[in-house]
Amino acid sequence: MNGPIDSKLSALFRGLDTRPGFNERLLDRLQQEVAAEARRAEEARRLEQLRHRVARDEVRPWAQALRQWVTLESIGIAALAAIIVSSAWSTDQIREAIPVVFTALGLALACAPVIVPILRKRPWVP
Amino acid sequence: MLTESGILDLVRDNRRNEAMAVLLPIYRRRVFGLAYSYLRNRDAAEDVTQDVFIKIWRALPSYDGRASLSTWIYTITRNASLSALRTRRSHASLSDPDVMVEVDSIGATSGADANIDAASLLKMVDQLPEKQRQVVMLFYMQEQSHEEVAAMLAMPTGTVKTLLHRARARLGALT
Repeated sequence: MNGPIDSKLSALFRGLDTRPGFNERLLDRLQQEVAAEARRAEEARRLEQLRHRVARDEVRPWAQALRQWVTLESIGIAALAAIIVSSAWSTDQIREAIPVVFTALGLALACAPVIVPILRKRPWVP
Repeated sequence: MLTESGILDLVRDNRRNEAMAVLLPIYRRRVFGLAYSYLRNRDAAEDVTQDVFIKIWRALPSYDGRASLSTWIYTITRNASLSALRTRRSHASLSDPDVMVEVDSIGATSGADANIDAASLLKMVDQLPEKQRQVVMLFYMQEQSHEEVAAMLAMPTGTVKTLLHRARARLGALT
């Protein structure tokens, strides 16, 4: 060690370093990285909120969902439809159809907790 | 100067930027030197050095201190350099124009004859087998210890000494 070859090699490589302004350029990139990370975090938070909302909607009981549909507007529409049907058909026809309608309605209500989740491909959570 | 545990404390306290401010002056030249020893091109080595520090900044929160900080940083640098090397498929040489500028600056301070010597010597170093060239560069770049060069290149200290001895002998015979 410390021979002429050592001093020459030392002189050759001692000064090798990054260009001036390297730290500033790195700082700029790091600031961009910080901003990008904040954006990614915000996006992840937004997605998580969305997932949470979807999951909450999925486990909402079907009865609660049904209650959403039973509003003054929907009752009014149903009453209007009933009046239209009763005026279009004769009373006898309606009287004959009542048991069938009620049986169908009863079956539908009885099967709803089983059928609705299958149709929606989601588990039923009461 | 902050010790490794001090840097770890900064990371744990979520003070990543302060940890980086401590790491940068300690490791900038070492990371650059290591990248340069692989890539043999100044611009590419500088790009890799930047990428390495960005990776360090990103990964600092997950650094658990199982490996020493220097080992961790050198591993990131070696992987990034090898990856850049694969991408570049470089046939770069130490005799690239940038390095010759360095040689010129050496020559400017030590006379015209020394400049010619430096250029020839650089060419000779360039022709050394890869590992010998890397060891020579890193050892003389910062007057590194054998142990430090061994840590940088992930090889035993004895191997570094052997490679350096062989390289010196080869260069000595040529000069």
